[in-house]
Amino acid sequence: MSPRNIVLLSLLAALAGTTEARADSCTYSLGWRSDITSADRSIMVNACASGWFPHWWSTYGFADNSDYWDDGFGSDNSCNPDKPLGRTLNAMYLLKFSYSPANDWGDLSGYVIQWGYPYAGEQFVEADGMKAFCGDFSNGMPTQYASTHDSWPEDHFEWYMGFFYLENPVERAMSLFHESIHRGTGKGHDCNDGGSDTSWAFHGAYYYGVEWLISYYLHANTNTNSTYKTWAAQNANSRIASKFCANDVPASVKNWAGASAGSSFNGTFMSGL
Amino acid sequence: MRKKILYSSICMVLAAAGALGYERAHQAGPALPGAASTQPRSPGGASRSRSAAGTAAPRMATASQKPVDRAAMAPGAPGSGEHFPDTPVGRALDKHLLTLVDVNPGADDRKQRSLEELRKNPKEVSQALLDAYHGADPADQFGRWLISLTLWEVKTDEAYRGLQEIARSAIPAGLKDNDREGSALANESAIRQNAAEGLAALARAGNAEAERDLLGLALDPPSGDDAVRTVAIKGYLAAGSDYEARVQTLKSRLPGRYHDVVTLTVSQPEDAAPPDLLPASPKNKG
Repeated sequence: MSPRNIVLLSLLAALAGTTEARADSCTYSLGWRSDITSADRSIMVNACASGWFPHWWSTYGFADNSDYWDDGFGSDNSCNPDKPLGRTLNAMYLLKFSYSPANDWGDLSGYVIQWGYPYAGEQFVEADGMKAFCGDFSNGMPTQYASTHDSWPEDHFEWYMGFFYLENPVERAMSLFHESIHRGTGKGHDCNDGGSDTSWAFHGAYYYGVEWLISYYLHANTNTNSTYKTWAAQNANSRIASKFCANDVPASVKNWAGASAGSSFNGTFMSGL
Repeated sequence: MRKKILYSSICMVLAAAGALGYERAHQAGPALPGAASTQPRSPGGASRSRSAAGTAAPRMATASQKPVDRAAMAPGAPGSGEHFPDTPVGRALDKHLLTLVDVNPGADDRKQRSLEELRKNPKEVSQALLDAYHGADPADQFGRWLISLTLWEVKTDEAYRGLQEIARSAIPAGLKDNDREGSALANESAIRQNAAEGLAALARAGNAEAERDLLGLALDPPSGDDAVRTVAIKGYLAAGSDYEARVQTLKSRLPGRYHDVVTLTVSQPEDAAPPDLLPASPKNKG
């Protein structure tokens, strides 16, 4: 092949690799999910007062991507529970402070709900890439939530309007953990067109997500209530029943205490309330 | 020398392409704040989307691509969980739903007190809850989940009709459940798990119709959801004192793959250990 042809091919390849990147604008409504708005406002009182927001902003990949979080995404007021940044930091707060005492940085001991935060935090710090977007919409509502991009040279997390405004705060905390597992393990969802994991034994993001939800139900003891625990149990149950293509979830997991929350939950876990 | 020229040419081409890419991104910049939110976008830099394995085409990123978006809040008050009519019961239910999402100390005690108040008007409360469920945006799964949770937790026979309707409802076709597109299916399942739990509570209290519903849900849930089926199985088992007979009834009529959940024995699965951290990478400095 002649040098000229190589140069031409290089040009074509480079142009093909140049994505049609473009910025979008979007409008969000707090009325989409008024109950979620109420929930975030309730949580933000303690979350903002915790004093952790500046730390997360500066070290978890927000500050180095600050242009993704301005222009309405909330970087001008991280304690605003109605803005995407505030809602993301609310979820970070629940990820760390749903169990007391919270694990220190690097301490991966204890329940999943204890090590979930330092594990996820390490992924966020290493990636240094938190990016907020409008994302896809249909009929005026967001249809895009989250994704992890970790194949070299990319290393970042993307969060969309569905994540900010259609997920409740505990759901958002679980999503932060779930996406961090993708980066930490390098495992994707390899079944049902990305909607499921191949198996429970695969120990992918759905496995760890279920374990986090179970742990939340069983052990969360602060910044929580029986409503969120029931939600967590039922979402664990749904994933146990549907997210593992090999149908290899052990009976010990299927018959866990939250498999039928009404017959097993008696409120005794609620020591923090 | 010839090779050197070749490499230089490639570098120049790549640099030019990068600049072009920036220009293209820049030209397609954000519209005016507050514009309608229906513009699908393709964020640059995506190398592998975990949300749809096998469907995302790897794309190279250039340092100059920064398709940052603009967002604006729609005008108007957000509302505050107002699902119910402006009546004493409606206002009590709106307040109850706010209590459900409160995580401040004492929230569960306040919830119990609120439920006790609601139980004083079981018929009106149950009807208002069912009306609100019917009137809710079908896509507002968290709001509908809170309503179905309250129908369960109010624990009154007056709620039976609503619980039965919700527990036996089909899940709309075409709902998504993945990282990229959200967890609509899981949340629809949770709504129906609430209703099945409510039927289980009524059955334990002697409601024979609820017990029959649970058997039907255990054998063939119209939602096709196996989490709902499991709640129904356990609810049916707990509804009477003839436990062994109920186990036999279910096992004789259910496919074998469901037999391992035909039990009221609660297991204690081991807590998961954290995944091993990835081996050292250049990014984390070894």
